[in-house]
Amino acid sequence: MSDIYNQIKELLADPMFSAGFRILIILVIALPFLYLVSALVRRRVQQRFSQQSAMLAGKAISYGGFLLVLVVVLNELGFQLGALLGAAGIAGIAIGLAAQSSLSNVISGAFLISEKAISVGDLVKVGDDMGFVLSIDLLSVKIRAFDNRFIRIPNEDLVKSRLMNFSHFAIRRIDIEVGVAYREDPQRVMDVLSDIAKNYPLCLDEPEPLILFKEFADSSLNFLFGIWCVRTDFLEVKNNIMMLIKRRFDEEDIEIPFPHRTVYTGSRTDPMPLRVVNEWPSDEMAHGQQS
Amino acid sequence: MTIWEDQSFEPGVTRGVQVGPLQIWIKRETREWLLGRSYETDPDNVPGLGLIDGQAPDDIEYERWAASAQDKQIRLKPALPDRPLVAMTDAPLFVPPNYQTTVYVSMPLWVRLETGQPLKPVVLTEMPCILNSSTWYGDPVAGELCYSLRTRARTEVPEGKQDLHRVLARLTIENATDAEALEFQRVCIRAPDLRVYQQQDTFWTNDVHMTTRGVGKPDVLRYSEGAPTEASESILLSQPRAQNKGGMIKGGIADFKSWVSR
Repeated sequence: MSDIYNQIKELLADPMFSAGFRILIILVIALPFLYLVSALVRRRVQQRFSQQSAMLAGKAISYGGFLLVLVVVLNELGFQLGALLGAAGIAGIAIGLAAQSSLSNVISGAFLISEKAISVGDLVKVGDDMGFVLSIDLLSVKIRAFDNRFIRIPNEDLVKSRLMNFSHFAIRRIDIEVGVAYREDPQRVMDVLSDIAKNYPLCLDEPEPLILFKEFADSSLNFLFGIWCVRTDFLEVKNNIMMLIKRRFDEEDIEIPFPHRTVYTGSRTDPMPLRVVNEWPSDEMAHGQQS
Repeated sequence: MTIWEDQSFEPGVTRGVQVGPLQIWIKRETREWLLGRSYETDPDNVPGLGLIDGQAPDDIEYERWAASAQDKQIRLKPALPDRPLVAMTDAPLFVPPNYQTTVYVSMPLWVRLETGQPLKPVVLTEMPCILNSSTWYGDPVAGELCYSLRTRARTEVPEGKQDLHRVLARLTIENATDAEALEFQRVCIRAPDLRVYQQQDTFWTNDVHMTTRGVGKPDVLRYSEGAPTEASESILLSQPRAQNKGGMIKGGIADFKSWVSR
């Protein structure tokens, strides 16, 4: 027993072993503690603020904590931090030059977060890519497309390009172009559209629906019918309102024309003259043979 | 039997309750409640309050609620809408500077179905007596989802018997400006903050006092703590959904464009 005790005592006296033992203790205590603090902070911030803020706070705690643990471990290993920082300064210049794009992404990410243009969970469109924001990270934003594709967009691209956020405001307007035949009474059409909006429960009474007599088009009288709805009802309203318009127009005998051309013979009221030349050709004539 | 009492159901029993245009259908199975509703569509035929004789329509869609075999009682309680109401007057009412007026607004009642002990109820579902359309109060950037309501905003207590599926709210509007008349055309009534009282056959909320102080300044909202002024002997039936005591609110009565300077 005393031999074992002496051996342990010798081991602990050994500087290398002692340092390694201390580093192990530090890691065993610090890493779980860091994880716990990060989780607690995330939960608290999410309760008071948003999921986005919680994620950022958690990452700040984690990265800061890891850096601190790294400094302590390096110190235990005997590294001179002053010299190390000096070397890091020189290396930093080299790395900075080499990693311009990454740095640009980091800075762009900071701008994106401060602007609050997007948040986790928002439905966004960037260029041709559309989907829900999964996370806003240091270098990029991750998006899940409707078909479950994973899209990674560098922060730098997001800052430079035009971004559309469909989730920023709680209500949205659905604009529908409606064309009716020239023979229809525009006021009657507008009254019918107004009635459709009034009777559809998901259409908000205010802001009031927009009904605009837009133009005299080639084949139809065109109206713009804009109705407001809660953002989450957008798809349902878009589908249903189109069906309601069609159904109601059919009931009211309001024609939705297809594109057509009217050919005049020079006189507005006279019909185009037709003259029957022959009966339906016989088989001989049809095949080019003389009767 | 009044419909607001506890009602016992044995398994297999179906009962209908009429609350104005709303018909509530309650069916008890061995371990579940089936709750359905339908609405009277004829605006000229608005039934009153009571139990329905007859069978439920075949096309009713029921909600299924799990229940214990011992839990055979269900309770209907009057409640207010779960969102604020934007009451729009048929004709605007102008309130002169340094003046206050009182208007009476009739709101649709909601019916809450509960089981369990009265002091520790289990709310199963809620049903509006009237289906109001939705509206947005505020501007497209910031605002609140509300129900839409048309009101005559009478300045006297409505005469005659009140509809039993409606609740009256006494709203005092005070124009605390010195030189600006208030065009009262639209008001946002925060129904979740109000209580429901009953005196005889009329439902009331507690009183609401709204003070407007001019363009750019938030309105001040206060609720009375006790019974409403017009029904001092009423009994309290429901507590508010939210526990707001009032305070400063932005744009409670109207948007700023409705102010008229004289």
